[in-house]
Amino acid sequence: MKFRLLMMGLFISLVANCSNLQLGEVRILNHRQLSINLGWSQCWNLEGKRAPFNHDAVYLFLKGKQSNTESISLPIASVSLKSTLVSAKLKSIGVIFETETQDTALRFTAIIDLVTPLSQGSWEISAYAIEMVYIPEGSFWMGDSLSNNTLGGKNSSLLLVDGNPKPIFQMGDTNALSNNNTSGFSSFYLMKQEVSQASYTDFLNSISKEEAEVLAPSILNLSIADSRRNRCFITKVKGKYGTDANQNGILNEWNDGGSIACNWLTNKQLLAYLSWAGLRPFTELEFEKACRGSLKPKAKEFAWGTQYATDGNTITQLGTAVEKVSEIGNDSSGLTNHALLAGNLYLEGPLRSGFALSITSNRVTAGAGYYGNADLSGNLWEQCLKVNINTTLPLGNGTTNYTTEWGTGKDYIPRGGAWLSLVFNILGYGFRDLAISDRFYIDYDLNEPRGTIGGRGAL
Amino acid sequence: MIKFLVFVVCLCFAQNVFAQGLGEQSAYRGGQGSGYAVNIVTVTIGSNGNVESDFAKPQNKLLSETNAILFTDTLGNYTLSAFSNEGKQVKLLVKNNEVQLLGNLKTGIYWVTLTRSGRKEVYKVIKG
Repeated sequence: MKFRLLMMGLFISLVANCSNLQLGEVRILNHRQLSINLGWSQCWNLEGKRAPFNHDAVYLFLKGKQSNTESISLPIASVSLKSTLVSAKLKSIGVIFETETQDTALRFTAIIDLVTPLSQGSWEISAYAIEMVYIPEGSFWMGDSLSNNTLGGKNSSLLLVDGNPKPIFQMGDTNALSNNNTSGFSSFYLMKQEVSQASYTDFLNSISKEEAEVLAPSILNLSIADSRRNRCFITKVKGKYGTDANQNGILNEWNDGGSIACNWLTNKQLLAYLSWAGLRPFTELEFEKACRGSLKPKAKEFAWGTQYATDGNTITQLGTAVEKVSEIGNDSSGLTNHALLAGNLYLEGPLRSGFALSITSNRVTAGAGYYGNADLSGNLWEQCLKVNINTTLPLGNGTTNYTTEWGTGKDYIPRGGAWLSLVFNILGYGFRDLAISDRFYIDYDLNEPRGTIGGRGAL
Repeated sequence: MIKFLVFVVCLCFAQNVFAQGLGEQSAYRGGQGSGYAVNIVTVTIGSNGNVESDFAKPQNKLLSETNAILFTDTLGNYTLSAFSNEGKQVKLLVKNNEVQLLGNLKTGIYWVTLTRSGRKEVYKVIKG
């Protein structure tokens, strides 16, 4: 009996530590005010304390829709909180919630005042929450002097990005790095996980039917069972977009793959999503900082800071919010989703965004970047603005019409590799897509949809 | 027995303290979902700016003879609650994909709220 109680106590304690972003009750109090219950577990705030000297956060934004119209952003005027463990600050079209403490299960209520009161009539109000990682201001090293097309050039001395203008010895480019929000020196928030299929379908359902048809993944006409979809389970039933991994015709069930990273995203589709959410794309310099932090580069290392990878290849809890693999990483070999040699079995698509994070994982076994972002190496390619594109990258305006300053597909480079990237744990092998500094596909046109490409946004 | 329960509580506390002591590891931990959640409610705003109705999009379901509602899929990880139309909480029993409303139920409307994978589903349940 005592043993059972002991086991029960341990189980409750462990379950309480499961990471799980939860958006509870959303209650409209009147035409200009609403209350929202929000919480997440495994929150951290290590600023000024110890590595990685940052904190996590949740970005929340609101959309409103009246019948037969497309949704509009509902800008937030102010936020008050019934908790001292969390703070809120207005950012873009929404609000950033940040933890003030090292708490394992944060739950709180926020009272939100809208800038523009809701007009009389029936409204559908949607609240969207995205887990973010705060990446603090500070210098970092770019390139590793060995990877394909590495920043700084092959066999050159390493370059420190410290906020002072510097030339990029790459492609004959003479543009200087400046201390703007694209150099990576300044602080920024980066989505902890890649854009999921659920979040992308919610986006499609929010915009006009005509726009949604243009921005829907190109593989929609293939049956869900078709292997050419590469685990993209997005479909359309009775005019609504959703996921249907279990192929029963009912969308968005618990095992329908909504948490799987969204592939087949063209650059245009990703940028439209980011703009609608009030986010922005991130640059390849920001990518390298998110991976490596302030640490000195190791040759051909992966996002988790070692040169070795363990392939996640055996899925358990398929398509659910806890989808993971049975393989485990170790202290030198990070867990990720990549390809094996031809003829060997490997997954033919992405896994759940953040599949390797667990209640006991560390940076390497979670396959995470220095600051805590998941899947920067492997699963799906990130879409990063190239280093030679000089812009300040303004935030999205809440619509799908993104600013021309964000550029187009040819201005972006795929970074970090994907489920189809072959990885040998031999440093001498030429191809190493998952390496932080590898830029093999420097001339790739990201306007082309591929089952290996997804993305994430910054703020 | 009381000593033992105190021991279990202390053990849970120590586990949390231990986890916090390894604070840097929290940055690399997780377990559920994809770092995304959504909640959608429908509301009617009156001419005076007050709320006339406020509900998460309900779906209708009929109660079986055993006062149960059936789902086409097993529920997975979830939280559930049920209330009468007068706001009185109703106890529930869950078996696989069947949720049974307990107690001496009168005819009328009941509301069942099911939250899973960060989504809230609201069911308007009619006992005929």
